[in-house]
Amino acid sequence: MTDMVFDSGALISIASTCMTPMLGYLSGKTPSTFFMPASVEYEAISRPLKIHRFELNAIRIKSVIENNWIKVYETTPKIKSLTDKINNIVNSIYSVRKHKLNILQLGELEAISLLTILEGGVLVIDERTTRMIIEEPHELKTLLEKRYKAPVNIDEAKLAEFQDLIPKISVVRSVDLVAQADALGYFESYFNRKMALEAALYAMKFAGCAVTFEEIEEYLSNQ
Amino acid sequence: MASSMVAEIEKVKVAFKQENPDHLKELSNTIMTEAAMRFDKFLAQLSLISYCLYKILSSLHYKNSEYYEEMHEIVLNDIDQAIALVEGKKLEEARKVLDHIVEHITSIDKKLTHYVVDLYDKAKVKQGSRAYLLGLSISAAIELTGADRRKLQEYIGITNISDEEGGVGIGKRLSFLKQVFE
Repeated sequence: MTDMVFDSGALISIASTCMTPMLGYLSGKTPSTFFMPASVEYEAISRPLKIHRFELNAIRIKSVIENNWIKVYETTPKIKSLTDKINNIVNSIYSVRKHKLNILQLGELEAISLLTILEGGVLVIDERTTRMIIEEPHELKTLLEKRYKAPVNIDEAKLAEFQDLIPKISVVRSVDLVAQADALGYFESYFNRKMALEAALYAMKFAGCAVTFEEIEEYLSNQ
Repeated sequence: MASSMVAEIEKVKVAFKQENPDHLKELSNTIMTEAAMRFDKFLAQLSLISYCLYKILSSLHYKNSEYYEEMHEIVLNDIDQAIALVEGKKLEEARKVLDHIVEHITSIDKKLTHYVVDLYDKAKVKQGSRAYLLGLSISAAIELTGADRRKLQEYIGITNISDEEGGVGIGKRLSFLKQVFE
């Protein structure tokens, strides 16, 4: 069994597009467990519950926990210690003009820690920096150089330390979950399955998921 | 570091004194680049203030209002105070002065705006997206600027930031999910 860990960004995108029932559908299609770290629960539920503008979205995400589709993994001392360790390593990998770039924060770090404790799995995250550090750290260097218009240094020893510390983590986004749900028949009850799939993919993109128009078009053209 | 902070605050002061919105906008972006590189919340707040002042100067609605002249004078005095405090290495007190400037901005904004979301919140989202563009994760951009996550995500979603990046496509990522669903 391979567990999935959700970042708050992906949950917020899914809830804001009214796609939380999809999470229930997916959880029923696998014996694997879906988790969110406690910091994600705070960011996606506890905090926005107190802000009227975002209260409904928080309630949608809270229902995911109430329905047992996703479990909250509390911040144990082991997770905290591992999060601090990963923080010190990851935020020392890249530097510009001798400044170490502080590129990841608690939510992303705790998700990686949790997957490390679970000895691997799937990370559901919509933003691209975390994904690139895990999948293509040297491409991230290239991106940073383009953005800062300055040379970016990679501390290869720190990078190796990070890669040795974390287990095998596969990264997917909310759009990929939509595609998976479709493959499992989620949109069959809609009046037009392909139209619903297309609409859901674009909805995730406009909710902030890091996916290009070309990716969506290419995927749809193969449907 | 104090000298570079003073230099940035001085530039904002000159641009605001000269009522130059284009320069304030440019400064907002260059200061945010520096803020992201150093993960410096003081510089990030200065960037947001510069952005708000640019928006105020760009809007006749604000600039021609009865509140503008007083705000202009108060903000310039506060900026002078912030400069003196940074030069004296009293960074915490300088931060409070920046907070004071923000209060003035939001005060005039509340009196004049037609929107529920205020100018400073918009600045957080705009410059938060810039921090994300500069390679910070969304959480890091939020920590730096104080932007709301959902607002920031939605704003990023309607820009072309993600379209500039490649990566593994949806089809390939579905193969990652086989380990979960098969």
